[in-house]
Order: sequence, then C-alpha cells, then structure tokens
Amino acid sequence: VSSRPPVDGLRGSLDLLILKTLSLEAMHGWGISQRVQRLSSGEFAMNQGSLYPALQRLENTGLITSDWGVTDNNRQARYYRLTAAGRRALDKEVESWKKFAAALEAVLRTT
Amino acid sequence: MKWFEAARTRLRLLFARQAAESRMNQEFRLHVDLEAEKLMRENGLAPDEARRLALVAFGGLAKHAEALRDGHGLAWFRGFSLDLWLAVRMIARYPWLTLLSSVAMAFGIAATVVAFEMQTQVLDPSLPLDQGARIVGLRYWDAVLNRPVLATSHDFTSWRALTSVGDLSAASVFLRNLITDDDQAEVVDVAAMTASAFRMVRVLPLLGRTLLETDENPGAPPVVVISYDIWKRRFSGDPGVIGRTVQLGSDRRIVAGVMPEDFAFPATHHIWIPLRIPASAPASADEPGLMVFGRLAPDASREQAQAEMLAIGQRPPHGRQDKNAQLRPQLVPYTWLFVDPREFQLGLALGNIFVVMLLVVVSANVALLMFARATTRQTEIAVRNALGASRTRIVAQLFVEGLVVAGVAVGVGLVAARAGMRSLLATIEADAGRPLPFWAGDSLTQGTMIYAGLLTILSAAVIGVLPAVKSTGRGLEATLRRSTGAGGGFTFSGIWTAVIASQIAATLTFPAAAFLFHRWVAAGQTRDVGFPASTYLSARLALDRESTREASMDTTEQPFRTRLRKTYAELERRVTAAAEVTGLTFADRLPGTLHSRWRIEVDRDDARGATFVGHPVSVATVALNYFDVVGAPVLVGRAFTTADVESAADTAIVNQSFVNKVLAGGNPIGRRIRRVRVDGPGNTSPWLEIVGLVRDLGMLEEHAGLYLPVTPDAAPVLRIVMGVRGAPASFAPRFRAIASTVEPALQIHELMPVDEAGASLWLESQYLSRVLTVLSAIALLLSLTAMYSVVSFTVARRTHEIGVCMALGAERRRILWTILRRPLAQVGVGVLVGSFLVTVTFVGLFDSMPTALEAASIAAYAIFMIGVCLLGCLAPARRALRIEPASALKSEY
Repeated sequence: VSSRPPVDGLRGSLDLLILKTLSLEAMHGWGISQRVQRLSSGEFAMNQGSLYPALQRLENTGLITSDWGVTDNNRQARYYRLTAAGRRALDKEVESWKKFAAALEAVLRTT
Repeated sequence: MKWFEAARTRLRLLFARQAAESRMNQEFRLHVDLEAEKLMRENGLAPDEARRLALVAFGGLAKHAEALRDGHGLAWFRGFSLDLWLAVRMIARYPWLTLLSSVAMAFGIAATVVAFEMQTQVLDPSLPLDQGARIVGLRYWDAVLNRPVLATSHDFTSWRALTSVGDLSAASVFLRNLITDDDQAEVVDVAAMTASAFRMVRVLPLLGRTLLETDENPGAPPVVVISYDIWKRRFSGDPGVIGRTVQLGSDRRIVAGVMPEDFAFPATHHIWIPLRIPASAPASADEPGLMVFGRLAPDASREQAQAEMLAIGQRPPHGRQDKNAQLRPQLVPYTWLFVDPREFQLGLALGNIFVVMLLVVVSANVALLMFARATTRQTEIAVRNALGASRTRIVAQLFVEGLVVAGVAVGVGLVAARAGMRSLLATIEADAGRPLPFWAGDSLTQGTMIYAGLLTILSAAVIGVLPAVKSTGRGLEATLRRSTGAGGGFTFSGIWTAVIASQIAATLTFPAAAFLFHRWVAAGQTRDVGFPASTYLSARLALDRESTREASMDTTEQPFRTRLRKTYAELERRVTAAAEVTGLTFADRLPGTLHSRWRIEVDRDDARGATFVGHPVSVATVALNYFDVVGAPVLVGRAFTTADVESAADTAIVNQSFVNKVLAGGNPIGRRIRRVRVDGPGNTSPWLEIVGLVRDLGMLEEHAGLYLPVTPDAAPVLRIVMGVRGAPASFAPRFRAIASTVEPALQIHELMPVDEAGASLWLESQYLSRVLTVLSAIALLLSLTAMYSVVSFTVARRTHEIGVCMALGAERRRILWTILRRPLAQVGVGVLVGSFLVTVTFVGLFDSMPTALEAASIAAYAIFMIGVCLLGCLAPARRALRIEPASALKSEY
C-alpha cells in the first residue's frame, strides 16, 4: 500500500498541478505528467491516464487550450497551454490553496 | 472570454466525433510510447517489458477513453441517438397510433403553415425579381385621414433628385379593351410606365425591345409592349409580331416588344405603354395618382432613403385631395403600393391564432393517446427510473418520441401546405375574378420553414413532454411495487375527465357544423331566384373614362354620360336584333347575389317606436324594362315608365317579401317609404312612392326588397342581363363581337350565365366548406380512436378490482354498472354540451330550429358516439368479467 497521497483522487489538486505546470510553458500530456512527478520529487503518485480527462475538463471550461505541435524527436503531439482565464484561475486557486494549507497546519500544530 | 473558449471547444468536439476519437487515440499512443522509451532509456528494460509497464502506469486505456468520451459532449449525443432508436422502435410497435397521430398533426401543421405563409405574403412578400427586396415604393401618408395617398407627377419629378433610390420610375394603371386582328375585345390590365421601370426590374424582353425614354417624347410613334401570355393567345406566338398593330381602347399602337413568361410588373399587368410626364407642369387637381417606385442604391438603406425623402420635403398643397391633408412622404415595401396590409392585419392575426389553437387541440388529442400508451409502459418507465435514469432522462426520451411523430407530421404537413396554398390562391383568384399579383406564389418562404421547425418542437412538447411529466410525476416506486400485481393503478380522473368530455363535445359539434355549413352553401348556390336564371347571360359593362396622358378622354361627367347612354342604346339595338336574344336589360345587382342594404321607414307606420332604426331591406336599381325581360311582370300596380326617370318622380317597386315582412301583407300601392340614415339626425332622404309589386327575384341578405328605376348612364354599376334562346354561353362570343364594333372602349367583365354569377359568390364559402369537411373527418377519426382507447384503457385497469368484487359475490350487472358509470358520465356530459353547440350553430346559420329529420340526424350521430364509447368499455369489461375471481386475485400476491 502506497503511503503517498493519491493526487488524482483529489479533484482540484490535480487541476491545480496541471495549471501550474502549464503556466511555465506549453506542454503535451506525457510531459505534464513527468514535470508533476519531478517537481513533487516523486511524492505524488499519479495514474497517468487520469491526466487526460482532467485536461479535457480544463479545456472545456476554457482554462487551457490545445494545438498540434511537434516534439523534440519530431513526433506529432497535442500541446496544451494556459489561457488568460486559466492564468487568473491559477492565481485564485493558489491563493485559496495557501489559505487552506495554512489553516490545516494551524490545526495540526495544536497539541 | 472563458465561455467563448468553452463553447468553441464543445462545438468543435460535438461536430467532430471522429476527429475527437482519433485525437484521443493519438495522444494515448504517444504517451505510452514516450513512457516506454523512458523506461528503456533509464531502466534498461526490453521493449516489450517497457511497454507493459508503461501501460500499467497509464492505468486502463478503456476506462480513460470512456471518461473522455463522456466529457466530449458525445454522451449527450449517444443518449439522443439511443432515444431516437427507441422512438423508432416504439413507432414500429404502434404503427396505427403513429399513422393516426401523424396524419392528424400533419393537417394541423399544414393549416398553421398556410396561415403563416399567407401573412408573410401579404405583409412582407419577397418580389421574385433580381434583388427584389431592394425595390421600394414611394408615396405619402395622410396623417389627418390616416390613409396612404399616391404621388403626383410633380412629386415624381422632385423625387428624381433622390440619390439613395436609383432608377426611380412611375406607373399609372388602368383597364382597357385590347382588340387584335381577330376583332375580339378583351379587357386587359394596362400599365402606362416610364422606361426606367424596365431597367429597374432587370428583366430583358423576349422579343423586340422594352419601352425607351424616346417613346415618352411628344410626337413619338405610339408603341406597346405585350406579355408572353397575350403574344401566345392573341398572336399564336408569331415571331413576327413586332411591328404589327393592336387597338387599345380607342388608340392604335405598334407592338414594340414581348416580355418573357410570368412577367406581370407592376402587379397583374399584361400591356405596357409609355408614360408621358410633362417636364415642369404643375399637377392638375384631378390628375390620377401615380405609383412611384425605385431600387435602393447599392449602399443605401431604407432608413437613409426615408430620411432623404423627408429632407426633400412635403409637396405644396394642391388638388382636392390635399386641401386639409397633412402629407408626409413615406418609403414603403413595394407591394404596399397595391395591397394595404392594414386591411388584412387583424384578419390574418386572428386566423393565425385560430390555426395555432387548432394545432394545440389536435396535439392535445394526440397527447391523450400518447398518455394512454405511456401508462401501459408505466412499469418500463419505473424500471428505468430504478436503474438510475433521471426523470429528465425519461421525459427526454418521450420528448424524442414526440419529436419523431411530429417530424413525420411536419414533412407531410409541408407537402399538404404547398397543395393547400395552391388551391387557396386559386380560390382567391377565382373569387376576385382577376389574377393575383405576380409575387403571390405557392412556394413556402424560408421564414415559414423556420416557423414549421418551431411548430415541430411545440407539437413534440405537447405530445411528448405533457404525458411524460404526468406519467413520471408521482409514486414511481409505488408503481414499481405494484407492477407485479394489478398494474399501474392509473386512472383518468380530474383534468382528464374534463378533457374527454370537451373532446366529445367538439367531436359532436365539428362534423355537424361542417355538415350544416355545407348544406347552407349548397342551398345558397341552388337558390331559386324566381326566373330561369340559367337561360340568361349577364355581364358587367364599363366604358374607358380615365384620362391618361396618352389618350385624352372625357374629363368631365356630362360628355361621358352622354357617350355611355348612346353606347348602351346602340348596344341594345344591335343585340336585340340578334335572332337568339329575347331581350336586354340591366340592373346594378344580379339576382342570386348580395344586394345593397338599406334601412327604411314607412309613412304612417304605427309600429314605430322611439328605438326604431328602420326595416332592413335589399335594394337594386334596374332598367325600366327589367321585369319584362326577366319574365316577372308586375303583379299589382304598374311597371316603371320613362316618366319615372325623366321627371325624377320618386317611385319604387317592391317584392312580395317586402309586403309580407314590412307591410304585414297590406296593399303596398300608394304607400310611401324612405331611407333611414343611421349616421346622423339630418334625415333628408326623399319619400318614395310604391307603384308596383313583383314576385321575389333572388335578393340575398334581406329577402324583402325594393327596386328603383335608373337610366344606364346613372346606374352605379351597369350589369346587363340578356334573355337567350338556347345555351346562353354560346351567345357570349357573338356578344363580344357586337360590343367591340359598337364601341372599342366598352369593357366587358364577368360575362357568364346569371346563375353562375350567383354561384361565384359562394366560391370562398365552398372552399371553406371543403376544408371544414376534411378537418372534421380527421377530428372525428382522431376523437373516436382516442375515446375508444382511453375508455377501454380505464376499464382494463380495473380488472383486479372486478376480480375482488366477483370473489365477494357481487352481481355481474352491478359490477358492469360500476365500471361503466364514469365513462358514460363523461360521454353524456360531452354529448349534452355538443348538442347544445350544434343547436346554437344551427340557429345561427339558418335562423330557425332544426326540422324533425335534422334533429333525428343529430340524435343518431350522438347515439353513434355513445355506441363507440360503450364498445370501448364493453370489450375489456367482458374480458374482466370472464376471469375467475381466484386468478384475478392470485396476480396480487
């Protein structure tokens, strides 16, 4: 049994990670999954396939958009990037996540 | 723009199902490939092993694909296609129900579409010309009298300065006799039109040329352009027609061109001659109005053109029309120059409301059928609900079923509407006795098609959603629990009782009303007019009188009247000289047609009270020899004499109904009567002395009537009546020939036997009667089916209850009564209300109570309806009674 938090089980945290990843640069699906793993130093276990419904959801709500592009080794890939609305949503999410984390920590610190 | 991005993506995905699937597969494949390569690169795994682990890390291709598809909006699409498939399956299972529903609704939709199309064609028709929507009319609006006023030649000249309206043209329209080499005179619609009009409509001639500006110069040779129809009929399509001469009224003209088929600009016109507009002459007071029209300049809008017209300003007051008028220049849709939409607006709006209501009633009937069917599927619906289908989902499914039925109905309805339009236009044309304007057609406009689409959704909502909401509305779980027992436990009560009762009332009323209306029309057509009308030939005569700029005619009244009197005398002399003619006379109204209506008072009449507004009577003005020619000699008193018209002695002859109704059977001779003017107290109508009595001669509206003597030149309308030996129609060509030699400018209209002239009055009613008959047949069929299925359904639902009663030892008769009580009460109320409505209709149309035979027919019809209803009850009731009590109860546990 893995002790690592199940990222894709918590809707919202996965969306946040995707938006954050895409705020750095446009990326294809596999690239996003690799970057999430790397940034979290392998702490977030992720069922890689569940990334795609999340990407689609974000695209449907207009937070990200996608276009066909070519990878470093010359393969056709779908590249996702943040829209202006996505950028604003990310700022809001980060803010609210920070508040949540601070509140949670305050509770946990109480002995 | 979040919503915009989202909408764009959804739309793209919705319409690109294939593309979405292929994109998904490509993305998944790339992901797994990249992951496998990474594992091979970093962990040194063999390709197969690396791929296996990559797939594991991905976590179930199929699951993620399904999640993606659901998010695509394809889930909705798949749900819809499933509903569509289920709907088609249901339709196959209930073919008769579907057929009946579709036919009924198709008829309702056809009626609605025709009404809508008629409204479009009257209010804002599209001209079938190149960019016809850019052609506009220019006129004035009289703000004081609230009516349109046509322009004058002065206006036309000043409006030529408009930059927003190009090819400004004018036309003056009138009727003239056209006489060609065969000497046959035919009345045709003539347009004296500026040459620019031909440029504006962008139609080239078929042969020769159109009118040119040079034709408008004084002294230019008189030319004429003829229509395709006239070229074919009067010149047998002769290619060498150009240069031949025709006689138009009293002018001779050279044919300059032939226009192509169907060209009838400005409206119904077949002959075009140049319109000469004096360069700078002020318009005369009596100048007839001009139709002024043009084409909006390429970049100009109607509003701009209207503003420019206002800037040019109002015309200086002149002429009798303008004395007190406040005229404002107005730019209108072209057709408004010919048809004033205000005359039709109310009628069309009411007609539309009526047919939409009719459609709702038809749909409600179909809804009743659908509801009866939906309740038989109660268990299926409950099971679907239990399996997780939401109420919205189930309602959506039934809506799609409704949509399919409505879709079929709209398809059939549109075809029927096209045929309906065609026959309606033909009827209007025949009734008006002249062709319809060239823009009236039987094709349905785009707007009407969109309207039909909206109707489909409305109908689907009524027939699908209403029953669905009702049948999913309450206790679905309870239904599921009971479904193993005695069925859904559904009853038709409350609102449905009212629906069924009013349904039956309507079913009784509608066909009976149609039947009575039909009889009324038939009776009107075959009404006895008191003399053998089929042996008399009639025609309306008119003499050219309008002064055109081309041919200067009489501009004052007296010379015209002299000419008319002389023409009539000469016509009478020549026609009566023909061996087959027994006599010639005239009247302003023909027997068997509607007459003018007066209200009169009788001198020394004691019956008058303070509220007396006069006896209603029909009035006709007739020639002195009228009664002799129609073979109805004066019964009492004397006939009219020359002295009656020459000395203006105010005399009248009355008919038998007048004596019976107004004078209560007393002697009419010597009594004095006069017209009561209801519009004001200034009653100055002179007294008239009754000098004679004749039998009734087909005066419609009011049978009591009086005749006044008149000379041909003073008759308001000149309708001649000729007694002919043999078939009157065979004398018609001869009569035309005689008339054209007497006076080329004498127009002959409506030449037909007298009985046909009366019958033509009934064309519209006849059409309405046919429509009513078809409507009634459908209403009857639909109602009987709905009634039968609803009643039999209600009884079938009570099988279990019957079993219990039988087990408890109740008498069969008593049980039967319990079962039949409610349906019979519903039908009874319906029949009572229906009979009342039929009687009201009867009294309204015939002004009398039904005869014994008619009453018996209505009663028989009502009994037939009750019979159908009983049949609906008895079949399931008998089935229920035959069941062993034990087996009926067994199904409960």
